[in-house]
Amino acid sequence: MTNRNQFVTELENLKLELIQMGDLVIANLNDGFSSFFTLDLKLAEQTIKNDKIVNATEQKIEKTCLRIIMKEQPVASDLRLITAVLKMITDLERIGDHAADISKMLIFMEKTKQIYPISSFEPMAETCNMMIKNALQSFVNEDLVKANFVIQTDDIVDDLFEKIKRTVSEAIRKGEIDADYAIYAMMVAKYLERIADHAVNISEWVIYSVTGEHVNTPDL
Amino acid sequence: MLGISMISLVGVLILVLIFGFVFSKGAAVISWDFLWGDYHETVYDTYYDEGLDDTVFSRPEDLDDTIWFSSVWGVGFTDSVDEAGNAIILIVYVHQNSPLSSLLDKNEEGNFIAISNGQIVNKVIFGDNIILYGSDGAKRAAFLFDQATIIKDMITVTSGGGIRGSIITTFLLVIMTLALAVPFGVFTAVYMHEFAPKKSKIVKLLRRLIEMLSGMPSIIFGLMGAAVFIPFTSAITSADGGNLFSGALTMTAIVLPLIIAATEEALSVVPDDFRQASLALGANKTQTTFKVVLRSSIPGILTGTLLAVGRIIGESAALIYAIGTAIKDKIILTERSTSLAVHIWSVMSQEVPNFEMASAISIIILLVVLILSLLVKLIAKKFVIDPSLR
Amino acid sequence: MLNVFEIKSLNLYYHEKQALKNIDMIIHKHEVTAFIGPSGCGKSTLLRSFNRMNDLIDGCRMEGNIYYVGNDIYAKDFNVIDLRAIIGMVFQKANPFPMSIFDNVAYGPRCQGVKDKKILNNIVRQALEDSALYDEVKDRLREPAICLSGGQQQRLCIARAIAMSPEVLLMDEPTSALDPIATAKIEDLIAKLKEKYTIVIVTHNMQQAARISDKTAFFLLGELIEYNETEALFTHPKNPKTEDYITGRFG
Repeated sequence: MTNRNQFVTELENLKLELIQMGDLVIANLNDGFSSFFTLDLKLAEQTIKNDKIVNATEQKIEKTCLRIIMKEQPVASDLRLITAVLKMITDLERIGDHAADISKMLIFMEKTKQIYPISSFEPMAETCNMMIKNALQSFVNEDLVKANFVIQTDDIVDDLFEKIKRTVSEAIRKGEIDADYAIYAMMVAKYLERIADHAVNISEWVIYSVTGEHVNTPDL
Repeated sequence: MLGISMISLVGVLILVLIFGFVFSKGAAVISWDFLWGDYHETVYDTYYDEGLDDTVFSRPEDLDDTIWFSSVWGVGFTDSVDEAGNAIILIVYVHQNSPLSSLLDKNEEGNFIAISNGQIVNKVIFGDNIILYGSDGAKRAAFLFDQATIIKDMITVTSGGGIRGSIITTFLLVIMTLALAVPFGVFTAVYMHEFAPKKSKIVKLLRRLIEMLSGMPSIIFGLMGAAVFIPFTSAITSADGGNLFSGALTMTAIVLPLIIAATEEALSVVPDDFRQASLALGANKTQTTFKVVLRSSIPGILTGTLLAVGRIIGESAALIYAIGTAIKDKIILTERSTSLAVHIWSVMSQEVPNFEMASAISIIILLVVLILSLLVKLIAKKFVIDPSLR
Repeated sequence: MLNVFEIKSLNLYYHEKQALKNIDMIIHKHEVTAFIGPSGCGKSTLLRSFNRMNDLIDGCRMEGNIYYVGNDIYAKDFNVIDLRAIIGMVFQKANPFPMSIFDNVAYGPRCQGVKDKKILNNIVRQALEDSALYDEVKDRLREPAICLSGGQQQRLCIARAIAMSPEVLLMDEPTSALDPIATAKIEDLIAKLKEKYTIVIVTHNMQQAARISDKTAFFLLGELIEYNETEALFTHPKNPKTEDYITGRFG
């Protein structure tokens, strides 16, 4: 028998809201990648629009957290949970922004009427997708193993980023690639790399929520 | 509802009747002489043969027309009536330089007696054997005195019927009893309540005893007084028979349970918080008990003391045995005397019971008791502020 | 850091009922230590054993040791009166004596034999100032203490304890009967007082413990469950029982 049933319910609802925001961000991210790989301009436009919803969701959850702090004066694991949620929604919101940014880049790239296939984009996008999914799952299940796994996976994304950089600079030296296109491509690669970093941050906050320790992996 | 109010009306009526009876009989008797005069009449037998100088005493301004003044002797007389209705000559004024303020005692060589205000002239034989009788009236008295230079024999009487002796006795009794009962009673209660081990059998026994004692009829205490305290005090003082000491000891025994109970009650009402706070400050048990607990109990102890005073004043049976019933004017601690209540008994047991005096004394006692109970109420109001109620 | 209290294997019984089980802990100097726990957990009992106020309770029996700066306070012939003069106590319900404000504060020193009027005046003034009460009462020191409000009375009780220049202040739920403003005043006072004294406070208000204490000890059914820096205990407690209690899930 527990006390503070209202409080317990509030916390459960908060977790749900976070997951819903996560799902929203993932959906938007997938749309972003999809539009990128299928050159779907309409989808790209849609993705940019949807980011507004993500921002609104972040504000809503932020308000909920503040209200809980005022009302319930949480301590211990409750306090850590609320703190972690406040931080995680920031990272999720940034991921959402980057998804929109990638769509913007597609629109610019399309205008250059150039196609230079870079093979690493797809694995990179998939890895990011997986990292975010895992981070959120580790939150749901309080799974420290999964959270740590996400942190490790960041290395793969960093490697892929290096690869793309080498490919593009090689193509520039050889004169095989349009200058604007090259820049836009690098920016997309950077956005993907940042998305992975945010996924890492989310996992770090999951670890904090469970253990009380905040491990800070420096962003390379 | 009607029945109840009828019954209570009858009760009130009875009380009113008692008061009415006492007041009607006694009110007339009360006067300053009554309160402060001797009970017993004193007869003075005096003479004066030293001759007079030429001093002429002037009649004081404030003497009214009913007073006959002798300027030769500086004395004023008035007509009055005694208890039996006979005409008497009452001395109402004697000048401080009057020869009458220092006459020689016929009964005792070398003793001087002062003729003073309030004395009655019974008979005077002047130098040329002219006699003034008590029934001759004030005018004649002043006339004869003006003509005389020698007094061969002057017989004056102080009117009696005063209760001064009994008032003083009652007062002394109260003081002496409280002096014994209060310290003993308070300290006993303090020991029983604060210092004795919680489950002490002795304390339980003591409490039972005190309960029993407070229920005992006071006449039994009187018997104890007669059987124990009178011989005891006779042995250790110069007393011979009943005396104020034996009376005080007897009253102490009666009043002790009262004071112990009142003190214990007052102590038990003191919140335990105070004791805890005091001990936590590093005070020892004695300091805590006296500086805090006892100090807080003073109103309750005072109330108990006042109740005890009321008891002492009202006690008759015990004192009849423990002191005696002889009404005195000069009070000596090692001799018999009467308290006010016993005085009532005494005058009522005469051949002719003196209802008027008894009623008058009753009024005095009622007044004193009234004042005491008002005092108790005042103390209760002013001092009993229970801090735990805040 | 000097150990003010060392409690070793303390077991305490009221007749047959065991109130404290195997307590081991150390209280440090110039710290505020909070004892928290549900009703009946033994926190007040432990507090009262520091100044041997449990001696006053019938049938109270103890095993183990309590050392005050190295001295076994339950040793035979140990001077309890002196102990209580060095260790002050403030109770849950303010209990000023039915005397004037001045006499209340001067009570302790007077019991110790201080008679000089000048010295007493100084002691009383200093104690009232240190309890943040002087300005409010300086014109009515001779008035009865009863006339003060609840919060003021409690600060008077603190002044009364401080007048003895103790080393330690034991406070048993000192603000539980007070309104929020009076409570806040006393909490501020405690923050100041810890510069001079070592303070141990029993409280059933966890937010209060979190606000004012340096270390917190959590008790449950007579046992010491967890004892740690307050920040650590309230952000991530080590024992799940502690977590259950402070998050209010305890049932």
